[in-house]
Amino acid sequence: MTNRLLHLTSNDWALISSKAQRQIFNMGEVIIRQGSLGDKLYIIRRGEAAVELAGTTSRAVLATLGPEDICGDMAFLEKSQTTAAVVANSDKVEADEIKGEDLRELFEAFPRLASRFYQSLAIVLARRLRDTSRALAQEIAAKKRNRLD
Amino acid sequence: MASNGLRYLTANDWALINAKAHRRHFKLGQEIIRQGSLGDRIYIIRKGEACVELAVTSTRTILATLGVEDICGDMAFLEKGRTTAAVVAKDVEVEVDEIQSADLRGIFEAFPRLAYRFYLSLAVVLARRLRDTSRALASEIASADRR
Repeated sequence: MTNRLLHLTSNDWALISSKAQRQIFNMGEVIIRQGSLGDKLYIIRRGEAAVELAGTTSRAVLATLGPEDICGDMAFLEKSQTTAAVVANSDKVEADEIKGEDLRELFEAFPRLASRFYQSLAIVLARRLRDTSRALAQEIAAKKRNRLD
Repeated sequence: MASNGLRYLTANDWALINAKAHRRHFKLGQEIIRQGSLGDRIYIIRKGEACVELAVTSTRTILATLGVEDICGDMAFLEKGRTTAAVVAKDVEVEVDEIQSADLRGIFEAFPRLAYRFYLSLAVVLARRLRDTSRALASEIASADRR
């Protein structure tokens, strides 16, 4: 899948996991609330979760996450509010919660780990951006066609 | 428009990167990056403006406008793939610094903290672009629903 941190080594993961707290969520439980101030990252370890965006009247599912996928990364990066919710989509979803400050401490001590982490995260974001850009271009092209019809 | 600059790089980082850069000049309408070309270099805009254009089924959509200090060619660099959008000069004279991917990776090996700051900055740039694009997509979909 597209939301994995591909360049982290097993040693990197051991260091990161030592800072992580395992959390368990039941089906339908909110892992990340939309609009929360999130200086936390989550790595899904078991089960599935859905990334949901709340509209004025409905909710749209943007993506489905599985084991090893990361979430909460954009709010962590920009130290801002989360712009989508992540909801457990199967029974007993396990996720590792890592505090932003713990992660940044690791990055200071291990710059090569930091470089691999952000390189991997940039790749995840580039893929999401590519998909979103293509969808946007298709919407705009469809609109132009409708106008011509 | 939000800046796409690599904000966490220090003056010293830039000196190391600039030492490997080649200045290129483009005229209005010239392609700086061709859609589908090999991503073996990145570009930093130094003077003027450029547009990011995506061609889908005979229509070209402008995705973003880039200005001084903005980076482009970064996604193909990251994924070691081909560019999926074009970048076109939008001023009479546009100047860009071209840096070969191999040179950049060489610097990263020698200076891991520079690499850390580079990729952190790039992730922030991408997150911001993703936020803008998602917002534009949401409003396109909402206006299509109304029709």
